[in-house]
Amino acid sequence: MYGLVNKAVQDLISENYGDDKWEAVKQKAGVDEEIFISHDSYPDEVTYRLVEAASEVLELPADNVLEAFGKHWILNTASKGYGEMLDAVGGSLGEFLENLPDFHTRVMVLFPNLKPPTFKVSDRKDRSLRLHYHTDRSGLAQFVVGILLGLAQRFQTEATITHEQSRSDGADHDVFLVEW
Amino acid sequence: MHLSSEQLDEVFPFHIGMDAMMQISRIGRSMSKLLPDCRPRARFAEVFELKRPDIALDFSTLRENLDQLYIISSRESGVRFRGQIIEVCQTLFFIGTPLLFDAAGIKEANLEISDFARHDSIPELLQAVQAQKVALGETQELVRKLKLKQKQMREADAASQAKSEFLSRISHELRTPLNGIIGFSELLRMAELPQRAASNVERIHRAGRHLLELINEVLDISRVESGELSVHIEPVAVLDVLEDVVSFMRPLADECQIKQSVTCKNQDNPLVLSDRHRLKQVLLNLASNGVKYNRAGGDLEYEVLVSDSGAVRISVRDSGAGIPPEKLDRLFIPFDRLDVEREKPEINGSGLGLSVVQKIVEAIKGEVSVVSVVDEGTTFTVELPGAHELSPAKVEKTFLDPSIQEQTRKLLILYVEDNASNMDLMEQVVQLRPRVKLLPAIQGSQGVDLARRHSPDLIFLDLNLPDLSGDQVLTILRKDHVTKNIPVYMVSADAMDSQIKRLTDLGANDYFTKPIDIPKFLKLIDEALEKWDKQSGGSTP
Repeated sequence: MYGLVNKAVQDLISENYGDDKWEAVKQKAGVDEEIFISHDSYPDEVTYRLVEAASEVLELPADNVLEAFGKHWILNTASKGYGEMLDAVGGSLGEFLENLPDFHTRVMVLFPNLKPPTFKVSDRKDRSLRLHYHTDRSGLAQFVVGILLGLAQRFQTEATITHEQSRSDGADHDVFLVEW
Repeated sequence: MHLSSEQLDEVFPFHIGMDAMMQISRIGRSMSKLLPDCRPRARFAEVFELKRPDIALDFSTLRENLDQLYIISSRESGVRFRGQIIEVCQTLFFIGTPLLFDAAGIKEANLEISDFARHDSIPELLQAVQAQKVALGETQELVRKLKLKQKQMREADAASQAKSEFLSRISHELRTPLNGIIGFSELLRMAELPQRAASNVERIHRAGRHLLELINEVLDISRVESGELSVHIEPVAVLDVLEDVVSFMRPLADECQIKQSVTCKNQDNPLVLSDRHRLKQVLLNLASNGVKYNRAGGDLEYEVLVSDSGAVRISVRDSGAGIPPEKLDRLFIPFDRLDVEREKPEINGSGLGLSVVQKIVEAIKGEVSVVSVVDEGTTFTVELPGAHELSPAKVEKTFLDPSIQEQTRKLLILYVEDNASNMDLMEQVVQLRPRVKLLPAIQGSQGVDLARRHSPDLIFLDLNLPDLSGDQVLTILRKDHVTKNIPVYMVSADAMDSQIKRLTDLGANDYFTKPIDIPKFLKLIDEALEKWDKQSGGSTP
């Protein structure tokens, strides 16, 4: 996972709960990085440990942490350094999600060590679409939900996300119905 | 092969077609989104300015320059495009892409990533530029954090230095009155007193000693933390150290009816690589706990075992109440007084003893561990590297009878001290040895003068004097041919190791910390008397 993702966990905790809590999370997770470099590759394990430790320190269920962390990633972390790029992906929630597959491919070109998930869009309608999420990583579906809610907020759009199909139920990929 | 309009739009979304009259005949989908004023049949030259190559903007000239890189600019918006001209069926096409230099430019140009052809790498390049900016920002952030850390470290060093200086000062301030309390009570203990008064004197003396122990423990912790704990690693015979420990502990152990025993499992007297003084300090501390937390009539066992790897394990085992497993981790935490929660809240202590032990053992490259069984007792084990290939340094022990026979010639001791109470104490101590005469000096310069005129046998020199400092006096004495060989013993309440080392480097023979250990002081005088007797063949001068 690129440092940018771990940075989101750090930002989320530091900004909402204070630096002391972040230090406690780091200590619990056994992570001693002073700062995450956005474009350095870190073992996925680091991210999982941070989320788990954050869940324990903040006394929140891991799914809530993941969702908050996905929202924060879009609204704060990614927006800080990459707001212009996000702007360029689309001017509305629908456009953004439609362009998301191509965007991820372009990101992969730029960061050769990145193993981004694959997104596909189906059933595009005026105010809804289905987003198909393919990944080798497990346990991050709620992070995607957070990202989708963050995007809706970014475009000032009321949206509901329905997790229609889940890998945890044996499916080969996750499907989210996004309605706005 | 021809491309359909849709395919042309998909592959070259930023294209312009123009006929032989240089009128615009086709506009790509993204070009028209970017330049809404660009309409078919408008003249190319009215909409665009040719920046490169520097040629005439007419159909035939363009046809003759198809092998060139073109840069054109919108007259309306100023947006520039890079690309090339191709000819297809009597029509010239400019195909290219807008020149943008940062990601924000995409939105400013009213474009999205999907407006670029998929083969066009401009979005990635813009993203790369953005990534560089982020990396630069993070580098600056790292530099800022590093600078902050450096500043914090400098401040911590300064604070640590200030703490050491404070402790040194406070140690001096505390030891000076303690010198009086312990010294005079020591003298009173030697005197004939009514029973009640003797008991009170004993209490005063014990309380003073206890206070001194506390000060020493705080100082030890401070020394270790400031890296000032000096250790001198050498081969040390373990049983010799244990012999001292057992002897030292005997009065306290006897008082509590605790039986001390030493067993050495598989070698006569194993050697360890350690600092003799520090090892003794550690074992005394453990033994002291072994007595304090023992039961009346219990056992205190010292066991020495050489492991297969050559390491030497020294265990101190008591037969006390033991410590519950959940509390063992707290044993080495400074100021954590487990005994307050245990059944012996009456025991005095700072809660520092075991943390001092742990830190000293670390400093002498050893390890300390503890095993405890409730209702059976506790065993502390210190493991140290062995030193088998070296033979123990022979330490000649001399126990002198304090009532050494009187001689007529008097040993002359010069004591340079400005504190009247300390001088008074020293005079009374010296009276215990009728063959010794005390020569007092209350200033450094006076001390130097008396030393030159009387050539005393020993000099005791206080560090803090009103005119010259003790260091200055010492330096003068060491340079003067009359006084340079006279043994000089520094006396001060400032007991920091760095101070002691500095003065011994300057030529001091030894260092007495206040309160003066009177038995040690008397022993030194007795040794000097004995040496003197040998040199003079026992005759009186």
